[in-house]
Amino acid sequence: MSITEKSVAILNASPPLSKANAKDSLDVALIFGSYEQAVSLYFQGDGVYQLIAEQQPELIQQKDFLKTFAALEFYDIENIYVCHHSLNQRGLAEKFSIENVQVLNQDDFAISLHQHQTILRF
Amino acid sequence: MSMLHLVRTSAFQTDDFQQCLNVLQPTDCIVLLDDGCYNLNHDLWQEALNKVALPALYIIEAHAQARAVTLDKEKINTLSLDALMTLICETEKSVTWQ
Repeated sequence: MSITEKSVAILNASPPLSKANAKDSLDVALIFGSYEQAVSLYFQGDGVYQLIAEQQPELIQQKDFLKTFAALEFYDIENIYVCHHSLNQRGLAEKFSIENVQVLNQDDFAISLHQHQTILRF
Repeated sequence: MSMLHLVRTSAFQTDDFQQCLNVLQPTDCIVLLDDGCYNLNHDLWQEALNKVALPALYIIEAHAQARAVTLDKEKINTLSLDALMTLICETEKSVTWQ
């Protein structure tokens, strides 16, 4: 019985600050990374706000967990996809707080998401 | 490669269902449950009918009846919670929109 390597997709649909979803999701990604479990991150809807550069959570007395996104690289989490349609809807430029973010059109985003065996949505 | 989409929120309130439709592929299935039952009467339901064959569109009967959502055989198939368990086990992967 060949053990096919299962990969996990984490689908982020929540904005970063007002709810814990974004931080929980990043924690889960890093935990998977530390176990070398293949994981890819997808950002859709208000989830795209998580990656926008130059945010300052400390101004509203919140811990700046956004800089933890930089840790993804150390865990070899490099498949990071953002929905172009969601960016457009929100008038957002492709200026992100981390490197190697791939902006996909709606179809590619959907097909890419379908490659994974497990999808966790936050 | 087919995916089961469990939709639990109303498109009149959040855009979870719209996001679901944005990633929906022709071989996928949709199950409406809890407040997701209200999506049956949302304009977006037509988009679901266009993208996926009718036999792949389900609603949990008890959840719909609890909310007095009228069920139309032309637009949806009913499912019991037990049948949902079988469907979840049979489908390779699922994602919950809530």
